[in-house]
Amino acid sequence: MSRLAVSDVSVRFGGLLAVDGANFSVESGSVIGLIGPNGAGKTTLFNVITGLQTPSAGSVTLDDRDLRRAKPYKRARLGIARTFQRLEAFGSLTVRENVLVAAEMRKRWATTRYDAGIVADKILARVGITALAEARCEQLPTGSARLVELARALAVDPRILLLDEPSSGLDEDETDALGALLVALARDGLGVLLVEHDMPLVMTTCDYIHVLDFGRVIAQGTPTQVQTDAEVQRAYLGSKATM
Amino acid sequence: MRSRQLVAGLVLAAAFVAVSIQNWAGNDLSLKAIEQLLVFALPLAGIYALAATGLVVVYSTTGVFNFAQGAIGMLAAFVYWQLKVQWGWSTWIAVTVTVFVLAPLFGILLERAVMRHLAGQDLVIQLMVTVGLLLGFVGIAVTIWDPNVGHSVPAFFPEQGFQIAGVVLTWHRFIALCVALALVVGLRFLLYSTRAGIAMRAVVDNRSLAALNGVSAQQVSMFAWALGSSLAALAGVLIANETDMSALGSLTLATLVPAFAAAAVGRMRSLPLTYLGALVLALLQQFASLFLSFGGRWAQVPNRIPEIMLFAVLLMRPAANLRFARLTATRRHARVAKPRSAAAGLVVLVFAIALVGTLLSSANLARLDEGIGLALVALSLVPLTGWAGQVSFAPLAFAGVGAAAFAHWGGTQGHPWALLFGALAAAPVGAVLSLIAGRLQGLYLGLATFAFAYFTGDVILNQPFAFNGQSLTTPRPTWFGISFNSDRAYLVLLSIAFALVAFLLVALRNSAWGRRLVAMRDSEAAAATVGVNLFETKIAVFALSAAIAGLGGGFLAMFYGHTASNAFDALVGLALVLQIVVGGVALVTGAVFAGVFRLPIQILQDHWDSKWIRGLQQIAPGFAALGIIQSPDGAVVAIADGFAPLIPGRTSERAERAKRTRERRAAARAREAKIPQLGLTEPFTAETIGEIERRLGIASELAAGRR
Amino acid sequence: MKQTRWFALALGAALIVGACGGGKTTTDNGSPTSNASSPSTGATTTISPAQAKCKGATLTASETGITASTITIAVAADTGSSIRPGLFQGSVDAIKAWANYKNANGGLGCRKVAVQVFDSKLSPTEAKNAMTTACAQDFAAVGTTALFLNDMTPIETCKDNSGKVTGLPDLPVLQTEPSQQCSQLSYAVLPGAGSCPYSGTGVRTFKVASGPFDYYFGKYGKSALHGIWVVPTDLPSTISSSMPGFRYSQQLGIKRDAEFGGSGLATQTAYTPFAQTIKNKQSTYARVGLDYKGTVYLRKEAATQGVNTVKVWDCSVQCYDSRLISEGGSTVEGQYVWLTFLPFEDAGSNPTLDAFLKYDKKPDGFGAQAWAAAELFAQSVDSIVAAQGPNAITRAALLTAVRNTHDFTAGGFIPSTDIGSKAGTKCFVMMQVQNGKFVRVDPAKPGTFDCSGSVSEITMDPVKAFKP
Repeated sequence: MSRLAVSDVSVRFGGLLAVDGANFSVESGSVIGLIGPNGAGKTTLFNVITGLQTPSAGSVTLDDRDLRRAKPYKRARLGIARTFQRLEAFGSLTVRENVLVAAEMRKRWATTRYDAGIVADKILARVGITALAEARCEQLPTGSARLVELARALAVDPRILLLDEPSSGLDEDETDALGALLVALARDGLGVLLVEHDMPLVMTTCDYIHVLDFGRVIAQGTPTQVQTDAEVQRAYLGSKATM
Repeated sequence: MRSRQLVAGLVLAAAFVAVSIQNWAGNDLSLKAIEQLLVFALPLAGIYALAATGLVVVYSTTGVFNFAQGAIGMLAAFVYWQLKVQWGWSTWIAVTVTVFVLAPLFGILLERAVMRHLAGQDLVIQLMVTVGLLLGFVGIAVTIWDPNVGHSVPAFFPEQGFQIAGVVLTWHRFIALCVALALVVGLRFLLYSTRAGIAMRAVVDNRSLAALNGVSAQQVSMFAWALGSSLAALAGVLIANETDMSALGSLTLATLVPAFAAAAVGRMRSLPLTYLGALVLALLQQFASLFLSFGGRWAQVPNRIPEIMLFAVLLMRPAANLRFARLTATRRHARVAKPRSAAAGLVVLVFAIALVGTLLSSANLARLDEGIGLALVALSLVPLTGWAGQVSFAPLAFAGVGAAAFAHWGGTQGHPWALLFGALAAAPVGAVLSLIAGRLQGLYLGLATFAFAYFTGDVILNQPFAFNGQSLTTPRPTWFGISFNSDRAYLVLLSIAFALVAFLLVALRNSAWGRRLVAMRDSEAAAATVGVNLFETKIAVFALSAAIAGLGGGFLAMFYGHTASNAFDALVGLALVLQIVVGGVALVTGAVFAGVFRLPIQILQDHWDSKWIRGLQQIAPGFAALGIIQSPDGAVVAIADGFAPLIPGRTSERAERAKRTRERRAAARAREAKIPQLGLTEPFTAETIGEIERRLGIASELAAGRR
Repeated sequence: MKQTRWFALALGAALIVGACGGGKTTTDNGSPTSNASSPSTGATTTISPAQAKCKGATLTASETGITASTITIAVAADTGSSIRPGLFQGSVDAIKAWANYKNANGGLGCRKVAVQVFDSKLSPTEAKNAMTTACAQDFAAVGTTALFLNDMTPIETCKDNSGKVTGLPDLPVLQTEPSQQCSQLSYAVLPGAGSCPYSGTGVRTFKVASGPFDYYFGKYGKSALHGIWVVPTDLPSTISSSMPGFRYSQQLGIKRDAEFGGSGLATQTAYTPFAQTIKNKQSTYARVGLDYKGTVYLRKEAATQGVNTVKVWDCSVQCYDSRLISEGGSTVEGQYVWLTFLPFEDAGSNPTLDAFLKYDKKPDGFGAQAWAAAELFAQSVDSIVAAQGPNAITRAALLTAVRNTHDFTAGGFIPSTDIGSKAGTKCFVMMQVQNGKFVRVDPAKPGTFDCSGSVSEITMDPVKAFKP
C-alpha cells in the first residue's frame, strides 16, 4: 500500500499564483481524477510532484517520506512515473527504445533478475502498441505517442502513476481501451492520478475526483457528487450539464 | 538556491583577494589611484557594453545567440573606413550610412538568407551556423580589404578630451559612453513599451501565440535582425579607432568573450546588468594591468581575464529547471548504424584510406595524416554533442591536455601506454568541467566550454607541467617490431585507431547507455522522470569525450613529432567543431569529413593558386554555415542521400520521409499564414498576452524556463 | 539532392587526380637571361671571377634543384593562412624580385634563377611539407619565414644528389624555434641572439649589443633615462624574444619605472594606464615590444594624456613600417627606430639597396632581410664557381661556403656579420620620425653603420625574467 500526499502546495510564478494550497492524496489501487479548466494548475502540480518544479509552499510526501530534497530521477526510483501534457517522448528513438530506456533504468535498481527487453515487449503488448515498436516517435501521431509515454511510464514500474491527458488524440474505441487499462492497473495495485478533459473517461474510471480552478481545489468527491456540484458546473462546465 | 549563489560568490571573492595578494605589483592603492582606475575602466567598459548590447538584444528578440555579432561590427568598421577614409565622406554621413542604411539592409539580407531558417532549430545548429558566419565574414573582409595595407580609422576629435581625476577622457570615448547609455534607455523603451518591441519578444517566447495576436513572425524577425545588425555596426564604428582594424584581430576577438561575459551577467536579458558586467570586467582588467604582476608561467593569465570572469559568472547562475523537449525544427533523418554493418564499413574505410595513402604525394599524405588525427579528436564530439546534445567547443583543448600528458608520461620514448595515459589524463578534466558547468543549460554550457578552451590553450598548456612554452619531442613509435616512422605507415595506424574508437562508439550508441544519452537530449525532463541521473550521465559523457579527444591528442603529437601548445589553439578548435557539425556531429563518418574535407581545397591551392581560390577558402566557413541549415544532419547524410537513388530499395523510404516532412511543414506554414486573416484586432498589450496564456494553459511551461 | 551527388563525385575525382601528383606550387622563372656583359645595369659592369668560369663550360645537373640551365631555390612563408592572410608576403616578393634581378644581370652560377614558392599557412604540417618538397625539388631554401617550423627533420634528413644525407641548406629570415636557430643547416643573415644548444625552456645566454643605447646615453645623458617597457605576453615565445634586450638596456643604465604586459589583441584603451604611469613617474624612456601598432597606441595615448617628459621613444625593426607614420600621424613624431640593415631612405648610396628597391616594388623589413639572405646565397655560390667551376655547385659545397663566411656585408647592405659562427652584429643605423618621414640620425652619412658599441652577454631564463 503506497500513499502519495500533496499537502498545502502553492506555486507562485512572479505575480501569478498557479497553485494555491492544493491538498489531496493518491493511494495504491485507486484512480483519482484531477480535472479543471485549462490553466487551473494541474500540470504545475504534476511538475511539483515529480520534482520538476519547486513549490513556493507545502510539501509532497510518498508514504510519509518528504520528497522535498529528492531530485526527479530519485522520485522515479521511489516509484513515481508520469506522462506529459505536451509530448515528451524521446523523438529520435523508436517506440520500443523509448520503453527500453525506462526499463533499463529500472534494471539498475532491480533486486532480481530483470531482462529489460522482455519487460519492454510485455508493456508494449499491454498498452497495445506492439505494431508500432520500430517506428520513430517523432513520426507518430499524437495519440500513439501518448500511448508510448504511458508505456514508458509503466516501464518505470511505478507505485504511483501520473497521467496528463492521456486520451488526447485517441478515438472512442481507443479511449475505452485506455479506460479499461487504467482500471486494470489500479486493480493490480497501482495508484493512478489522472488529469483529463474527456469527462466520460473520467467519470467511468475514477474513484474520486478533485476539481481545480485558478490553482485552488474548489470541489472534490465521487464522480456523482462532482457532477452535481454547482460550483464545479459554473467554473468548469459552464452552463452545459451534458456529461 | 540563493545560498548556493552566495557561497559561490564568497568563494570567488576570496579567490580574487588571494590572487591579488599573491601577485601584488607593489604600487600604492591610494584613493587617487582608485579614481584613476575607474577612469581607465570606463572607456573599456563602454567598448564591451556596446558589443554586448547587440548580443543581448539579438538574443532576446530572435532567440539566437549570435557568435557573429562582433564580426558584423567588424565589417561595418571596414565599410566605414572605406567611406570615410578611402572615399573621403564626412564623418556624419559615413556613420549614418553605415549604421542606419547599410547595416539594416545587411541584417535583413542575413535574416532572409540564413537566420529565418534558424528559428526553432537545435542549439547546436544555431550556434554553429553563427560560428560559420563569423569565420565567413572574416574571410569576406580579408578578401576585400588587403590585410597588408593599413586601415586606420581616426577617432572623432582625435587626442582631445577633458580631465577626470587627472586622466584625460577623450571626446570620442565620452561619446561612445553616452551612446551606450542612450542605448540602454532607448532599447528598454523599444522592447517594453512599443508594439514592435513587444512583438519581437513575444515571437521569441511563443511564435504561434504571437501569430494569434496578429503578429507576422517573418516581419518581426526581419526587423529584429535589422536592429541587431545596426547595433553591431554602431559598436563597430565607435570601436574601430581603438583597434588594429585586422579582420581577425582585436576588432573581432577583443570583444568576443568580453561581450559574452557582460551578457552573461545580464542573464541575456537585462541591459543595465549587462553594463554592470562590462564595467566589472573592465575594472578587473585595468586593475590587473596596473596593480598585479603576472610574470613567468602566469604571464598569459591577464589576457584571459574575460574567460575567467565568464566562467565565474556562469558558475554563479542558479540552476535552471530541467529542459522540456523543444518542438525543434531539426529532424534527424539519419538511421542509426548497427555494430555489424558499422564494423564492415569501418574495415572498408581503413582499407580505403590506406589505398588512398599509397597514391598521394608526400605533401598530401602528411595532410591526410593530420586530417585523420583531427578526425579522431572530432570523434569525441559524437557522443557529447551528437547524441547527448551538449554543446562543447573544447575538443582540441582536451586533445592538448592529452598530448601534454602523453608527452610527459612515456610519449617522448614512444611507449604505447603513454597514449592511454593521455586519454586518462584528459578524462578527469572533462569530468571536472562537467561537474562545474554541468548544471548550466545548453547555451551557457557551450559558453563555459568556450571559455575553458581559450583558457586551457593559453594558460594551462603553457604551464611547466604541460608544454612549458616549448616544443616537446613526441616521436613516431615502433610497435611489435613495426616502425611507424613513415607517413604511409602512420596513416594506417591512425586509421586503425580511428576505426576502433568509431566502432566502440557505434556499439555504445546501440547500448542502453547510448540510448540514455539520446533520451537526455530529446527531453531532459522526461529522462529524469524515468530515473536517469542527468548529473552523473553528463559527467560520464564529458569524461568519455575528453578521453577520446585526449587519445586523439596523443596521436596528433606523434604525427607532428615536435608538439607545442600552439597546435591546440582555441580558434583552430572552433573551426574543427564547425567542421564536424557540417559533416554530421551524430555520425562517426561526420568526423572523417571534419578531418579531411580541407584536403581537396589545399590540393586545389597547390595547383591553381589565385586570389579567387584563396578567397574561396577563406569564405568557405560561411558556406558551410548555409550548408548546415540545408542539411542539419550533416553533409555526409546529404551526400549519402544524394547517392541513395543509385542503391535499389533505399530510395523510397527516405524520399517518402522527406516528402512527409515537407507536407507537414507546408501545412503548418499555411495555417500560420491564415491566422492574421481571422480578424483578430484586439489591442496588443502584455496583459492581453497573459490572459490568453492562462486560458490556453501554457503559463506553466513558459514560466518553468523553457529557455 | 541530385546536385549534391554530382558535386561529391566531382570533388572526389578532383581529389584523386590532384593528389597523386607532386606538390607543385607556382614556379617563377624570372625574366629571360641577358648577356653577362650587358652594360644595362650598374651592378655588373665588370665580369666577376665566377662569371668568367661560365665561358665555354658544359653545364650539368650537379645537384637536386640544379639543371643545366636553372638553379631553383625555395621560399616558404606563412602567406596564405586564413587567420592572417598576406603575412610575410614581403619575403616572397623580395625573393621573386631578387631572381628577376639576378636573371637580368647574368644569372647565377652560369644559370638562371628560378623560385618555387611555398605557403606554410601558419601550420606545422604545411611548413614540414614545404621543406620535404623543397628537399626533393630545390637546391636550397632561401628567405624562409615560417613561424611554425617546429620540426627540422625534413631539412636534416634531406639527401642530396649523390644520396648522402647532406641536409637542405636553409638561409632564412626567421628562426623561431631553437632547433632551427641551432641547426648546422640554418644560417640567418641576422642571427638570433640566443646560445646553442637550447632545449627551448630555461636559462639561456644571449648576445646583446649596446649601440642604440650608447647613442641615447650620448645624446641625453646616462642618468637622465628612466622609463617603461611593454612586453608582448600572448605567448611564452613573444616574451622570451623581448626580455633579453629589455633587461640589458636596464643593466646599461635605463632605470625601470615600470614594466607591463600587453596583448596583441588589446585595444588602445589598454595603453591608457601605461601613458598615465609615464606621466606619474615623469619617465623619459618608453619601449613597446609588440608590433608597430602597439607603439602607435602608446604614442596616441601619451599625446592624449599630455605626456611631455619622454625623450626617447624606442623601437626596432618592427616599427620600420610606413603604417607607423600613416596611422600615427603627428603623434609619432620623434619616434626612434633602429635597424640592422640600410634603410630605404638611403637609396642611391648602396648598390645592393638600390637593386632591391628597383626590383621589389613593395619593400618592407622582411623583404630586406630576404634580399640579404639571397645575396648571401649568391655570394656563396659565386665563391664555389670561382674556385671549382659551375659544375661544382652542390649542397655540401654551399654549406661549406656559408659556414666559412665570417665577414658578410651583402655589398654593404648589412653590417659585417659572421654568418658561420652565427654571431650577430653590434652595428646599427638609428632613424627617427621627423616631419612625417623616417630620417637617418646616426650615423649621418647614408650607407654607413654605427659600429661604436659593444657586444655583451646576458644570461637569464627569458620567460621567468618577466615580472611586471
